[in-house]
Amino acid sequence: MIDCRAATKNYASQPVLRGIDLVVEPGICALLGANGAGKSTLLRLLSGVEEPNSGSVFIGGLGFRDHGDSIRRNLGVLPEGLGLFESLTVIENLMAVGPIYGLTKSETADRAADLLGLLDLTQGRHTVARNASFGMRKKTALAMALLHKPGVLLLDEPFEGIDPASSAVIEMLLGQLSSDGATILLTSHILSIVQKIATRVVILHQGRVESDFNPSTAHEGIEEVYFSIVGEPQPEVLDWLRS
Amino acid sequence: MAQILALLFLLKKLALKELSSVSSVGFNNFLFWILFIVTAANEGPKAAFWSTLLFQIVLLAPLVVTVSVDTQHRLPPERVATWPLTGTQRLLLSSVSFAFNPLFIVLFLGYLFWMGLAAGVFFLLLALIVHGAVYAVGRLPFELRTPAGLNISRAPVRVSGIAQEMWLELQGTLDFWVALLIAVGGTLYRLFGRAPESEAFTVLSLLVGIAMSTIAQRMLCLDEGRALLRYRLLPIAGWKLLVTQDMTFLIPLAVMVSLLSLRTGVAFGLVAIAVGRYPSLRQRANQRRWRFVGGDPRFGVAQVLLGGLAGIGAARTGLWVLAVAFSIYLVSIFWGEFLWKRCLAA
Repeated sequence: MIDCRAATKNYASQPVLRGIDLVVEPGICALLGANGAGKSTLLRLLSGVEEPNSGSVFIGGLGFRDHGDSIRRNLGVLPEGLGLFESLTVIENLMAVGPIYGLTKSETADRAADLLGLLDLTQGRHTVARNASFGMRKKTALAMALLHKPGVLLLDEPFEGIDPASSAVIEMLLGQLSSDGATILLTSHILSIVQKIATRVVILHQGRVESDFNPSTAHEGIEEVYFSIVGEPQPEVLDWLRS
Repeated sequence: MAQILALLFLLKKLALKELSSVSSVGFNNFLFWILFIVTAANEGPKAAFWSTLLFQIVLLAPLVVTVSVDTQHRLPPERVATWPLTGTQRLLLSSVSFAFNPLFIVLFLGYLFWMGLAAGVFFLLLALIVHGAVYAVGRLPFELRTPAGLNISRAPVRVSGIAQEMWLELQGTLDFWVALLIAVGGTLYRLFGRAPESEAFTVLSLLVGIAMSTIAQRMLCLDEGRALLRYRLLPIAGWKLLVTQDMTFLIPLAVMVSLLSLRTGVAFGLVAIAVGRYPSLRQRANQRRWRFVGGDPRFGVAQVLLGGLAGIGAARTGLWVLAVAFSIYLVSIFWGEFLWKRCLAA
């Protein structure tokens, strides 16, 4: 379970998160919001990469200050910056982290082979991370997050830049983990996927939780709620783009 | 014409905005040390240039690679490829971009006015050759990758993947290759030189150590700090991470100085790591591949002076100095663990 209490975060005295209260139970919770709403910042706080200026964060009832290692052992993160070892190949990245999570070399190799196969990375497994395409890099980082079968997953835009086939596989994997009792918090801008997989939707706007609902029981669709909070798009065709 | 002017304007703007190549070599221990030796020499700058020509080439060639790589960074190939330019215009663009680099201009003018016309022309020719080579290598139909050689990730320890990453990042710095060149040259001198002086081995070991020492200030940021994010997410104690990185730095250094003066090199390395611990953990640097590592001058001077004392002491007075250096290193590990926890909380 993820428990975030009155968390605030400022960058250069600019408030990014303004008192977030959020408890996430097992299931798939989607965190939505416009660019700059504070989604990635919130994930950084929840993954222990940064500390809140005020408020607190608990994962499974434990705080990062005293129980950082225990939390991280059960936490899978797909960070915004991906956090790949740029000089290592795709497979080497996976082989590097498995043993640190307590997996044996052979366990890591088996799981890595399975994940690479599922995510269609087998052919590119010997590509050096810095030379890999954006989609390959993201899938590698996702595989690194899943490798140790964590109980809590924090995924920053797992579907963006991913091909449709792999996207379907990721949906299936997350669904499977969720039904096994995992707590998954993900951010996304692809509302159709969120509608399909999320058991709960939280919308952040200007650093605050503006809406928190179950999409399967809500009267309005996610898109309606989202635009009512963030604002309707104002499409305007530029004169000079007309033929 | 308007197109060329627009490109020149863009290059000027980018060159002024991105002075990274200057900052990246600004506080490199080895470069400053060599500059110090040249300026402190009693002979005039012209004579100093020719008497240290070998060092100049060893230093300048990688430095010009930095400038040339900067050119490519400033004008991303995938962007330039989409521009409507002829082949000649493209070559011209690459060359002008190279010449627009502030570091290139400073070095050329420095050599020209300080060491004379011959030195200026020498620098220009060397720069042209190196830039041509970089341009050609960038267009090879296959990728050049340093063979991993020792595949550390197969080692039976949990942190071998981290060591592998560090080892590959180490090879992406010019400091490593300069140190290797000096080590190879020194070893050849020892093996094949006519009556080599034993004192020279201590000095050569120190030079290898100094060439590597700035890396110790940026162990966690050699890939622009990308791996740091992953390290923060991994369930690993700070001291384990630090020891893994230190050993990946220290073992190649020990191998390089093994036929020169092992004690000197290892004592210098231990102290350089200990002194570099604070900037490595607390300072963020945008360190890019294929350039000299840029450090903090305060810690750089401390690394060279204290490391030098330890190195010379270990060579002249015995193993107890090495033991003292190791103790300092151990203290730095405990302190590093404390800093790492604070770093996670930052």
